[in-house]
Amino acid sequence: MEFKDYYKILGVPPEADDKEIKAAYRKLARKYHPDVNADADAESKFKEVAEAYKVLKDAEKRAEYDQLRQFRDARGGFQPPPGWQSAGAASGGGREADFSDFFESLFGGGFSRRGGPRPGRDLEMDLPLFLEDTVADTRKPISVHGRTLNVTIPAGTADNERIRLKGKGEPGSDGAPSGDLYLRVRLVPHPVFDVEGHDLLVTVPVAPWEAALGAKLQVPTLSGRISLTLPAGSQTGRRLRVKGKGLAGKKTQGDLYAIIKIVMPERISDRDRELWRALAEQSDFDPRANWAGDGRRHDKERRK
Amino acid sequence: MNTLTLTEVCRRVSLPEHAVIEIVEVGIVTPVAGSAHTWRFDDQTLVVLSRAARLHEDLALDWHGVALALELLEEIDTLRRENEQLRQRLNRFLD
Repeated sequence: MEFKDYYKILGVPPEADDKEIKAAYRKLARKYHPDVNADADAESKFKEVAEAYKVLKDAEKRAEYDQLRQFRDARGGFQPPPGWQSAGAASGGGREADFSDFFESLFGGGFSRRGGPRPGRDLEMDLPLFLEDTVADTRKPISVHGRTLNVTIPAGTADNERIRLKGKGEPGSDGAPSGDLYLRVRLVPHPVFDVEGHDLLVTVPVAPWEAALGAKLQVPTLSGRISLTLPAGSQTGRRLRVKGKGLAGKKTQGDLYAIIKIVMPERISDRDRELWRALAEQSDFDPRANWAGDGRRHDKERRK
Repeated sequence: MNTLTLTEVCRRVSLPEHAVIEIVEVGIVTPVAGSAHTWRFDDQTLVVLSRAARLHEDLALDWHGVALALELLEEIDTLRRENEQLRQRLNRFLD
């Protein structure tokens, strides 16, 4: 069995006093608490820290632990001495959830919770969802603690929404009811669409002459392509609204916004260049007219 | 909608009544209906209460501290997601 160095886990020397141990625990708990830290390994880190603190904050347990530290071997393994029995261990006690085998072998049952039926805890987990899955009722397999549940996601489910699955949380003990499972919906970033509330945004690249002269554009939606009229003289960033083509909501139906992005061709031919040059010579358009001279004067004017 | 009484809520999250009353007083959760002993809570409250109870216990925070932590955590989550979304939108213009 692996020996757990509780002092090392809390980052304190073996002669640390109660105050140091408490301070070290608090600091690590704030860092790794699974309600605070969403990293995948935060929870196991926190459990380790909590276990270490549970032993070291208790004078009796700490004394026993200090005695047992002498039995660890050089390779980090450990075997409790024959006949070892913790003074605090109550025979026949239930296993404390979430503690290591090492802890159980030393103090098994000693800290056990009161017996009797106990309802299971509620569990919460993120449910990544594709935008396409929110258009109609969708069934999704979800894996929770080795079980697979088939969950129906109702049409119009929004980002951050919680779906409650009654009785699908942690099982209760001794016939007590199970907890509930809450799924928190997280819409997965889409390669084409962005989400703003219930509205969908799609960035539509257009050629400079399309922006100048206007054009008919084919634009993707979650339910196939639609045709859109780009008005002449459109700027980059212009939003064209397509009513009702956004995400479904419980009460409202979102809209789709096509956002115009003027792009230059990557390569141009000699003939193209001539045409651009002709345009440049003809046009009196100055996109930087409002800078009115050099930057410094502009700065001074602003300071006035 | 399914609602729960104060007693049911206390049983589900293993908190004494006085603690839940204090949690309501500091504004961590709000009953959907009723006053004092006729409070009704919606079932989404349980997730927040369980999280509050864990922070209270594991980080030795008082309920005001828990309220602040929860608000800030929620805000961080919102900002992080908003930042991700805006970054993605920005990239579509820069690519």
